[in-house]
Amino acid sequence: MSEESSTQPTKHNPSNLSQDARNEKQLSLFFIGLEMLGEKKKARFLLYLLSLKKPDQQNQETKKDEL
Amino acid sequence: MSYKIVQPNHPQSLFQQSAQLDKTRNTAILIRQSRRGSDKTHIEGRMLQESLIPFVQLAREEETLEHIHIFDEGSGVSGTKGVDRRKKLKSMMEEMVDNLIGDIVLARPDRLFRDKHFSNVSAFTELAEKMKVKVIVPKERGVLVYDFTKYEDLKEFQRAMQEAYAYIDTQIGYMNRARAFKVAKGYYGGGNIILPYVLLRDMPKEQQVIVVYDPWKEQALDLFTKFQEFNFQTSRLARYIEEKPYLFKCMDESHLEEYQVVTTMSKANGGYTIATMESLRRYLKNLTLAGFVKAGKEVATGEIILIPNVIDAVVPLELFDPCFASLTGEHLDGTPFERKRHFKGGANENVDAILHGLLSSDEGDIGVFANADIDYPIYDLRNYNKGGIGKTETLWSIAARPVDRIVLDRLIALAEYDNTLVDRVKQFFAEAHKEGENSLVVLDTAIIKTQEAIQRVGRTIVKLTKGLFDEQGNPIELADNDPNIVEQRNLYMQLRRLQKQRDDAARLSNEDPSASITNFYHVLSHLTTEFHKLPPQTKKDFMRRLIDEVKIQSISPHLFLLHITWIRPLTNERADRTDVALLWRCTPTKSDEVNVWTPEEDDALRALYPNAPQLALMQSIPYKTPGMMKNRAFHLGVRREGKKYDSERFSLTVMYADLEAANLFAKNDKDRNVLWNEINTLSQQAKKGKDTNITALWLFAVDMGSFIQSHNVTDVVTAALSGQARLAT
Repeated sequence: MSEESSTQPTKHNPSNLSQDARNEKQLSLFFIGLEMLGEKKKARFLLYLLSLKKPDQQNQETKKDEL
Repeated sequence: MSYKIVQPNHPQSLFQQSAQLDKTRNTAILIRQSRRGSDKTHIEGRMLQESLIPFVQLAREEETLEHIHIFDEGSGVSGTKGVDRRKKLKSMMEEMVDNLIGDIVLARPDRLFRDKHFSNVSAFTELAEKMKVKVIVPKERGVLVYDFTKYEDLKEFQRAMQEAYAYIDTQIGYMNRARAFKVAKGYYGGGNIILPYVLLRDMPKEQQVIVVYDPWKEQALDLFTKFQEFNFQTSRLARYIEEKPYLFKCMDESHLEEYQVVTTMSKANGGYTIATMESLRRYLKNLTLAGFVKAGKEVATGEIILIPNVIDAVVPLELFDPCFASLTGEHLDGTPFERKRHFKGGANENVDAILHGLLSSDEGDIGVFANADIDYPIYDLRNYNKGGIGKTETLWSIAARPVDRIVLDRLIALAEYDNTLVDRVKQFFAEAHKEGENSLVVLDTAIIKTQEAIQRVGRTIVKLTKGLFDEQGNPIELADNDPNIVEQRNLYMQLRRLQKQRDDAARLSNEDPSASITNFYHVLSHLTTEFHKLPPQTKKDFMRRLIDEVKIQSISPHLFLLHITWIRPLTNERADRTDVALLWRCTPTKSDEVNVWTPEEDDALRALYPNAPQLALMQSIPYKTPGMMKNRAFHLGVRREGKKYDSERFSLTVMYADLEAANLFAKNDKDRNVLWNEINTLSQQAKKGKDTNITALWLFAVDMGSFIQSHNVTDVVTAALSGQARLAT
């Protein structure tokens, strides 16, 4: 029963969701989408995402890695 | 007085002692054998050509193959074909244009072409001369070098090419005539023999004759009788054949000692049968069954010479002839075959489905079908030749309009959030990649040379018919099967193939779409208002220029996955972006699991329906929706006890099979809950009706840049990337 209550969808209006909840949902959909792409397309899509990151953001991450 | 001393320019001999290869460019080796299977049956020819590899290595003084490009066409590739039908040859010529190749090494000049009209030869020599590419043919004590910048070498090469074609005309022609002569006398001339004919074993090879194997005769006759009874419908005859385990039962051991079966007919269940529609048609058209043998072609007219009564007929001519005519359109005497045919309403050629020819699936071939009367095109997943001779199995169908709308809405969304999109697309096509340009050069040259060959043949035809008139004073035209007309037809076909390949190459080389689609950029800037005004074919062309790939896959009775890879400037110029959507179709794909209630499902319904929670009920009967269960329960007289509504939140049209299929993509309970919620919403939004029966959930944000740079998600995405990016690179 407890499993059912955790998996049953709830009727809601998306606009009623808080910003945090909306972000959580978007993130979940993003990861589900990655799985739906399949391995080959997923790898290419991640490269695409890498290319979207701003250069200063990438530099900061490189510095973090070096540290 | 001053003097200028000049050296006489001695023409260099074509024959040289050793090969001096151009080491600043690569060396190409072209390997080809004409007859299919020659690489095994005539292995020495293959080995001779492969021996060119160490020869080139030695001449280049290199141990690796890094600078040796081997264009291996294999066996079964005729030298009469040009670049339009020889991919390896085309690639080689593209590399010539790209200045990557300095020399082409061949075992014999005829490995390049056996070309009657020189359309292929001249296209090759023109490019070779322009790019200063030499052809090198190793001989026993040296090499032949054709340098096309020298007129003498060019003439020698053309002479070699004439000899190459003469081989077909004389040697092959002689062999064919000798074979035809043998067949005309009633002897076996080689090749497969149609059943019920077989070979008598106990005879000298040169005098082998084909005879009718009596136990099979009746069956062959029956096929023709039935074909006529079925009003010449091959599909009905195919069903008739399928009902039989075989057509011709395998011979007994004793008969096998006496007769030899030479057939490619499929062997199954202890006999031979016809397995494809193509072989069925071929069987019904085979003139041998009516007692004819083919004895070559009439040289002057090109007509096939038939000799009757050389072998025993299996099917009487009065039965064979209408069957033959129904398939070929003409009786044996040339009179046209007339029959009333009832055509069903065919597909509308101008069907308005924007993904027509673009949508594909890993599950099979996607076709587009539309009944013009009801204006309801569908994308249809078909498996050809599955489930019977000539049968096509439809695995699922999905309405085209709503899918088109979903894709177009996504394109509009991408265009609306990004006001630089149109400029980016424009710039992308303006700085078109050069990848396809070499191909365009090769194809353009081949097109010009083919057009010239067509003109030459045309002039010959005019000369042959000039001043000839029939009794009524009308100009006499050459017959359809006149060799010149046949040649002209073949050249026109070659030209059409080349032009089609040129169109494709233009698309691959990213030719600006505005060159072929009027107002392309205006429409792209005003998609919402302008796109629907385009004619159906232009809509398809338009989408083709913006989408690299669009695939669809059915994952459950109601759910489909749609993948779209947009062209790079549409999303980001540095990498591919694939969008993915989950589609919900309100009607489930038909199957026994969905359509039929099994006794086990009825038992489960009786046991669980009164009290079990909705999800448990759905799990136990995964291919039935709560709505179906409600109806079935009413039919069985089972009632649900108490109010369950608080926990019964899945819509009446969702199946557990749908949820289970979606589960594969959720890695944890949180993601699963989100996905199930979304599927439930999709199912509630979809309404039966032409344009509303499919709903979509796009998994990625339109603006992925903002998405991943958002503070809440960047860290999580980076963590995922750090693991996955390594996989990708």
